[in-house]
Parts: sequence; C-alpha cells; structure tokens
Amino acid sequence: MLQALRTRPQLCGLLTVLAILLAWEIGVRSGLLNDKLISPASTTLLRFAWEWTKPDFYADFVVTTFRIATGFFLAVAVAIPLGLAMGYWTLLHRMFFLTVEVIRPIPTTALLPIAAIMVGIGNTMYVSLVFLATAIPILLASVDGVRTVDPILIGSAKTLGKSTAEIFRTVLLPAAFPHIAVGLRIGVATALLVGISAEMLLSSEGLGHRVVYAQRTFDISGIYAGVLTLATLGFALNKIAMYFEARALRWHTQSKQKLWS
Amino acid sequence: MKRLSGLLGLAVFLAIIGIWEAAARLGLVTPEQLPAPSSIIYALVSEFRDGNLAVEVGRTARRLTLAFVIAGVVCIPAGFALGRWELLHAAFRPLIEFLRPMPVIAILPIAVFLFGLGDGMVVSVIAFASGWVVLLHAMDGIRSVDPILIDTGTTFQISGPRQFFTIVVPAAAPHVFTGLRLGLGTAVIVTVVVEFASGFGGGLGNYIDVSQGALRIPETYAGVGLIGLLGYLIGQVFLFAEHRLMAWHHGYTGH
Amino acid sequence: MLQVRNLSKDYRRGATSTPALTTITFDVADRQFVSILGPSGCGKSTLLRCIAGLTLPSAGEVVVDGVVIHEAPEEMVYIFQEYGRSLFPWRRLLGNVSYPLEGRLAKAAVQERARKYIAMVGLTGFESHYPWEMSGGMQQRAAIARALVKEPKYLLMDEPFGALDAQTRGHLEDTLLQVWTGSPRTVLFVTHDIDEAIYLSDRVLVMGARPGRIVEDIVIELPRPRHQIDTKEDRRFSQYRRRLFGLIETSSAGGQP
Repeated sequence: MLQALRTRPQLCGLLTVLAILLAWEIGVRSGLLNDKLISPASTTLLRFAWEWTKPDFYADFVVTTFRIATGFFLAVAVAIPLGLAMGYWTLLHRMFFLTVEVIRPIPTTALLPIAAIMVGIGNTMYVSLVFLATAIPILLASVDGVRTVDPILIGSAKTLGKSTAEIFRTVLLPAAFPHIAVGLRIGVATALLVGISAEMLLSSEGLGHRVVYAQRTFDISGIYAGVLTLATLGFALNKIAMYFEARALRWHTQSKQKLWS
Repeated sequence: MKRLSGLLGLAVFLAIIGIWEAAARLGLVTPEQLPAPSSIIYALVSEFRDGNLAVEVGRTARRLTLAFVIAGVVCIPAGFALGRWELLHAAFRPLIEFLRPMPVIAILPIAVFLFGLGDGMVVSVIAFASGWVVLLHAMDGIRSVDPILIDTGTTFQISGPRQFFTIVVPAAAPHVFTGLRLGLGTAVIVTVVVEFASGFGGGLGNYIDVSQGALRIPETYAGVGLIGLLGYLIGQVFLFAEHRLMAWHHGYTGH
Repeated sequence: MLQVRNLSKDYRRGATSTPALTTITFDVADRQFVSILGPSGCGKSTLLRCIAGLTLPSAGEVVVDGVVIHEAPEEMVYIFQEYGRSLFPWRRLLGNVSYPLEGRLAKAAVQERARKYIAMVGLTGFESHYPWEMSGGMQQRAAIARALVKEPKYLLMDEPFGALDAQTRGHLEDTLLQVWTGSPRTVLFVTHDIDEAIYLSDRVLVMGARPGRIVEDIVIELPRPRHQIDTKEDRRFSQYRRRLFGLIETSSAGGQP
C-alpha cells in the first residue's frame, strides 16, 4: 500500500488532511481535547463559512484589505524608484546606506506606539506602519536588483541617447525585476503581518481585531474560525502575488531565451 | 575611498539627527510627538541607572533566546524529516502550502486564550513563529541538494544514514542558516507584538507600551531604539557564528 | 570481467516511451582501457550510469565478475563529468579524497592512502585547499584521486575532461594513463572526442544514436606508452581517426554505417 501512496502524492496529502480533521473532530467530541479550549472541526468550519454571510465581517474585511493594500502600493511607488536610484547612483547609496541600516533592525511593530502618538490612532497610522514595514524589503531588493544589471545594457542605452528617466524605465526596472519580484513577495507577507499585528493590538475594526474580540469574549469557535480566515487571506494574497510575478517574469525569461538563441 | 564613503554615510546620518534635534528645540515639533534625540538619550541613561530598564531588556533577551533555541532544536530535525521522507512531505504538503503564507501573528489570540498572559505564552508564540520559518527552510534545503552529490555517495557505497549525515546535511546547511537568520528576524518582530499584548508580562515591548500609556514619550522612543539595538546585536552574534561555520560556503559562492 | 547483456533503457512519459538504449551487448576483459565513443545525445552517459548501478535498465543486465548487479557494485567507482558539483565544497582536498575510506579504515591508514593518491595525480601541497580554490583541471584530478583511493577494480569515467581546455586535457590524459599503467584496472571511458578515444584506449566501442546502440567495436593497436606527439604522428592513428570519424558522421545522421 505504501507503494501505491508513493506514486500518488496528492492522495497522500488529501488523506492526511482528512485524517487530521477527523482526529480533531473526534478529539473534541469525545472529551479528549477540552471543549472549553477548542471547538470541534465541524463547528469551526461552519463558523468560518457563516462569517462570510455577515455584513460586519465584510466591513472588517474591506477595512483590513484597504489598509494593507494602500500601505503596500504606497511602499511600491516609493521604494522601487528610490531603490533603483540608490542602486544606480552609488553616491546616493553611500549617503543613505547607514541610515537605512540603522532603521532596518527596528521591528516596525515596535513603532506602533510612536505612530499612534504621531498621527493618532486611525487609518493613517495603519497605512503608514504597513508602508514603512513593506518599503524596506522592497527598497533593499531594488537596490540589489540594480547592482546585478549588466553594465553593458546600461552602456548600450546611453550610447543610443536614452535619457536617465528612460534608462530607469526601460533598462533598470525590467532587468532588476527578478530581484524586485522577490522583494515584493516578501513585502506582501510583511504588509499582512504588520497590518494584522497592529489591528490585533489597537484597532476596533478589521479582521485582526475580530479575532482578538472573539478571544476576549471567549467566543471559542470564533477564535479558530478567525485564525482560519487570516490564513485564507494570507494564502489568497500570496497566490495573487505569485500570479502577477509569473506574468511579469514570463516576459523576462522569454526575452532572455530569445537573446541567446 | 571606502573610508570616505563610510564617512559620507555617517555625515548624512548625523545631519539627519542634527536636523531632528534642531527641529525639536525650535519647537517645530512638539515634545509629545517627536522628542529631541538628546532627551531620548537622557531618558535612556537615567532609566538604566535609576529605573529597571536593564531588567526588562534582560527579560526580553532571555525570552527571545529561549524561544529561538527551542525553535531551532525542534524545527530543524522536523524540517529534515519532511525533506528526507517523500511520503511524509507529500502527506503534509497541502497543510504546509496553506499555512506557509499565513501571518504568524494570527496564532497570538489562540495562544492567549489557551495559555493566558504569562512567560510561557510569550515564549511559545515566538518559538512557533520563528520555528515555522526555520522548518520551511530546513525542508527546502534537504530537498534541493544537488543530485550529483547524492550519486557520488551512491557510487562510493555510502550507507543511507551515513549519506544523510555526511552529504545531505552539510549540503543543506546554507539553507538552514538562511532559515535561522530569517527566523531570528521574525522572532524579534513577533516578540514586540506579543509583549505589547501581554499586559503585565514585562519585557521591552511591555515597557514601550507602558511608557506610551503614561505619556513618557522620550522613554517610549528609547525603548523602541533599544529593541532595534537588541535585535541587531543578536543578529551580529548569529552572523559571526554563521561566518565561522559556513566559511566554505562563502568562498564557494564568492561572497 | 564485465559483461553487458542486452541492455535496454526506455524513458516513459505517460503513454509514450522513448528508447534511449537498445540491446547493448559487449564484454570487457580485466585491466582493459575501453572508450565509449559517440555523438552527443546517443545515450553513452545513460549506458555508463546503468553499468555503474546509478540508473536501472529497462531490460537486460550487467554482470560484474559473474554477479548480476542491482545497485552500485562495490568494485566500481563512477567519476562524474561535472566534477565541480561532485566534490564536497565543505571539505578540503584531503577531506574529499579521504571520504570514501572513512569508517572503513583506521584514521592513520585513511590519511596515508589519501595522500598517496593525491601525490599520484600531482596535487601534493594542495591538501588544505577547498575545491573552489582550485582550477577545473585540479578539481577533476581531485575527483580522480578520490575515486582511486578506494582502489576499485573498475573505473567508470563520464566525459571527465570535456569541460577543460586542450592543454589541461592533454595533461590529464597523460596523468590518467600514468596512473592506469602504475596500478592497472579496468577503465570505461565515455567521450565524444575521437582523438582522445584513440589516444587513451585499447579498444573503442562506437555508439550510434536514436536509439543508442553499439555500432562498431575497434581494437586500437598502437604501442604503449602513448605519447601526445609521437603516437599522434603514427600513420595508424590517422587511419583510426578517419574510420571513427566516418562512423560518427553516419551514426549521428541517424543511419547505419
């Protein structure tokens, strides 16, 4: 039987998931797992599904997604050009390298109280925290990306009379993109992590808050369903990011192949 | 030339601090919002001397270290197992792929609900969050070992277990170290959040929260800076250890 | 003695099956130096891997000293084309060469044997170097030393000098012949280089492509020891070359000679 399983990995995975769900269900129902600490699988999944029918859930969902998306896209808009510039002009890089390195080890979540002080608790605070946290990995990835660009490509563009702006847009950005793509994927994960963290600690709305509220009100199935929701959100965002990355890089890999054929 | 550029960076950094100080003193920003760097440093020094900041730093450092060690000890072998046995990997793959992109902080409410607000909760959340990263990298490391290295073991009739420990594990070591490094970063981020949430649990995160609540703003900033410094120092210790153990890899890959 | 009987290898992909090798049969006497020569893609690496026990054939068998093999035989060592990827980057030269003997001999004996073979391939003095600190030619010599340290009866080499420049290749060919003459063993040497095959071997097995099969079996009657200039000026060398060239041309075009 082991041989049969070996040749069908998906079956293996499916069976394991079912086994875990079954164990979870039986464990709680039979009393083995304390039902005051964990809700059974069936209850959790039903609650998870039920949440999607409630309007206040959608309100929270929109709030969270808005905060994270805004912070993320702002970070992209600022960090990529800045990173490309820092990678291209060594002088600029040398000027700000130390400052970036000093800021880098400070976990953005630690800035939560400071952000609360500076701009007050509200959407601006969340967006700026997500922005800051996401901008750093994207910035570093862009700088790295530019440094790996073949100087011959830049030289060719220059001799063809391209302006600096055009070089940035048509040479640096595409050539550095594989590196930047990695940074963007880390950025999405970071944005989510920081955004949810902040919501859990300070907010009165949003998906992060929702789970904490369930915890405080001893809404057992709500807690586990909420965590499931967050996992699903992370999963979905990751898939979206990978889709766009694949599209952008397909173009890149194709051009690289054509270059050498 | 390199020294000059280092000085330039330093000059820019000091200039920024200087502008900040000037802005604070000139009243362009209120001390409630953005205290002067000098007041932050003053608060830092006096808190260490007269207050119990040192205790809090020690508490956070202890939790971080303990959690990180637990994460490494548990998750490196677990990652190895998942990498080594295809059946195990296939079995857990859907679960892993689903949980991989989850924001690890989501585990916090569950942990608080189950364990309350004590030290145990803090350490377990940090361990879980950073361990997850370590596990994934260890697993990926084992699975991406060059097949030619494995074939080399085969042609020399090296037994399975010996092959694993003398070929696969060293080959996977760079991945494992990357995982540990990223796990450390995750640990620091998570530590802050968990300590914020831990009420009276103490630690640097808690110190920042309390200071801010008491409107002691320079102390708040001082705490934030300290966390960054703590994370940085631990990271440097780690890098030092990595450099010693992975010298061959740096030469091999050229950096 | 090594015997290959009716060896076949197909690659299956869903419903389709591509034959890589069909009914390969030949014998190799002890201490013979045999080259397997063929155009790119004819399956010579696949054949060698099947003989080495690294790949399972679809049909047929490999008999080593009277025993049908099902896995990598004790008496054989395979040397990879990609020497850079086969040496352990985390070990120095001495550590790499000692590796096959670790756990089998006492530590002192292991070191002594390793040093002996390091000297034999001309790498004395580099024992503390990491592989990436050595040139391509040196790395391949290290791989050869590591293989020899087990003193295997059969040495299987897969285009070991293919990635090296002509001069280095010449030096390594001579080093290999020196080692082989000093401690004779059976060598199966895969190459696409006609000159190299003639220069090194007692016998050349010519392979054809699509599907892979033995097209011709030529005995090389050139005197030993071989010499890079003298042997290649011998009339017979050119005759062999002409003949092999013709065989390769026809077989890579897919037809029979």
